[in-house]
Amino acid sequence: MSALEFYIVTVAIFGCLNGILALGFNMQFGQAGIVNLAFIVLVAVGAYATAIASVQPASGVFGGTGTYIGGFGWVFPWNMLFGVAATLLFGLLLGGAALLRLRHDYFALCLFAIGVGLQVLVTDYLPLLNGSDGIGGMSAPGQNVLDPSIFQFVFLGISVVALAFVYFIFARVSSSPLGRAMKAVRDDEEAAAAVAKNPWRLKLIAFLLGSLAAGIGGSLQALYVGGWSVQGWGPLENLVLLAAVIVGGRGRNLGALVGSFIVLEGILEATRFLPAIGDPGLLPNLQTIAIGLLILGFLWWRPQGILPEKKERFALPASIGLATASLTRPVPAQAGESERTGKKL
Amino acid sequence: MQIWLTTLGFGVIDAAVLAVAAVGFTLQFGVTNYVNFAYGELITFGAFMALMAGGHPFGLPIWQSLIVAALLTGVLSFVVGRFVFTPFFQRRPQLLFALATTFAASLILSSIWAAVWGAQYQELNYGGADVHSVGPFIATTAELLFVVVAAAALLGVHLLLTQTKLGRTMRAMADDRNLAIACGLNIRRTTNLTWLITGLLAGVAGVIQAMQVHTFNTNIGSTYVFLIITAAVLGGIGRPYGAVIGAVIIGVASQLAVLVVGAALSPVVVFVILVFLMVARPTGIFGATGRTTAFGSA
Repeated sequence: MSALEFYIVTVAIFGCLNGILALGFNMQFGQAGIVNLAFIVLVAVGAYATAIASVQPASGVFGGTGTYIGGFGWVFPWNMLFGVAATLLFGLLLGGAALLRLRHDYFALCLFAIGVGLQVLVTDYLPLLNGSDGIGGMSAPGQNVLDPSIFQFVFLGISVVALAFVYFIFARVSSSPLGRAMKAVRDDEEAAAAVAKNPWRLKLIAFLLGSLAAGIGGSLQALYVGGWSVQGWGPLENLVLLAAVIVGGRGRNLGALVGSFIVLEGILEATRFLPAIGDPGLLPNLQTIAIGLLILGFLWWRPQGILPEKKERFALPASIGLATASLTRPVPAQAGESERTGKKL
Repeated sequence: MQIWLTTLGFGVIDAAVLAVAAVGFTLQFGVTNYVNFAYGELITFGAFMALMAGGHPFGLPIWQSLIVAALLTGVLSFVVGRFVFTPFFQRRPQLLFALATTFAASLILSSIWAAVWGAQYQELNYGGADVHSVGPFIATTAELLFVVVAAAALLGVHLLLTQTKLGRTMRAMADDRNLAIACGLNIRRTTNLTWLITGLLAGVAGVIQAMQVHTFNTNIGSTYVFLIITAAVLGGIGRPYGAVIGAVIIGVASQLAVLVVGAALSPVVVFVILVFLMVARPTGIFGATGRTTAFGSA
């Protein structure tokens, strides 16, 4: 496998993994209207949990470097399942405790503060998760035994399967009454509550689904990269996911995938090939500024994103058709559109 | 007993520095009713403006640097608020987009600071390092001056809110925005002036924060925004006096936590306070302004 092929497969793997994360963020942000600016914390929980499930104990004879809790030495897929379970539990605690009565941005604020606080805690308190050095030395399934080129394809296969799994579940949820109820809560919480939809329960379900995706994505990322540290989760990663969902089309699963592809592969990878301007530290900052401006631009001109959300269409019940036969003007078949002229009302 | 009181003193100093930023943050939330995630970046800007004013080729003494930094930060806050945030929120009034906008703006600003000033640590020194002790309390001259500056800033805010028409309008907007509009108060002008004033406070906070930690880099704002948010939420977001109380509690608690659990774990205390708040009393001590809950007020 040539270097270019290796690069393309690597980009494809990261594309799949980030797609999973974007789907999860979209489930929370786009469908249920939860602005979870600590989403990356859920990803980190998945990654760290997988890490501590994979490596040897810190004090053991075969232990890795540094100090951290855990260290079970499990293999795939048990370490990944542990990671996903830990993320779900964490998401349940976080969502259950905080989602209860809080308004959007108040909740976002608190979650953002919790995210930063956790980052400070992990960095400062070394015995927990080895501080800013992180936990390393993990190996992905088959990495030690397979030829590197073959391993790349194997992991790509695993990533694609995981992405398909998450997409399938999320697509089913979105097109189901559950998904519509979530969107109703997002659009107007009081109206949804007035028709007996429990906003908190629906938001919690969305939050947990998002946590599932975060756990899967974070766990696979940790396995592929071989470790995880504090640098891997910060507000920037959240910004990238936010950009992916806003650019691609919030509320729509395919939109989240498209957005993730555009933002990550397009901007980040394309700028990699630009000639170096200024000092080396400038480029990541320019990338961040570009992503931020992209978000602002899309919010200003096209907030529904590239792939806007599909409007729900319902067939007109036959009984209403008979009743309107005597009317002089046609009854609109769906909200916001006139049946006769097809123009939006 | 002695060490507890000394730590209490340190806590009060920390609290004074934190209070200025927390009051600015909470004032802005009260008036505009959305969170400004970019507030931390204004604090960084204030610290660096003071650094540049004190260095070559201006070489201003520290007091003038402080005033210059505060004014410049106020102007930046006004420019961002008036020309970026206000048009965005008029065009896209959903709260969801408000959050995304301020979050994106905060990261854009933080990247600009990192691009311009780099990541190396800078130093901002007043030089008043002689230590005084009053009873069990120990403080350097510089730290006492921080408390004085913070107290002066807070007194200024208090006078603004109670004695001036602008301040009363700000309080009215925080309490009931629709009623304020219906009464014909000048919302636009008040919002613009609020951007300016909270920017001034952020600048002052940035300078004294930088002087307190001595060495800082472009991350100083984002590191402290966690404490600022917690202090503001603790006091009841939108309530300036609550923010002061919140800052005192956070400052004292984190210093006392250093005694009990060690310096590495002291952020955990702040963190636990925040989680407890969210679960038990999200509106804070004095109750938040605006709507913090899904249905009406808690």
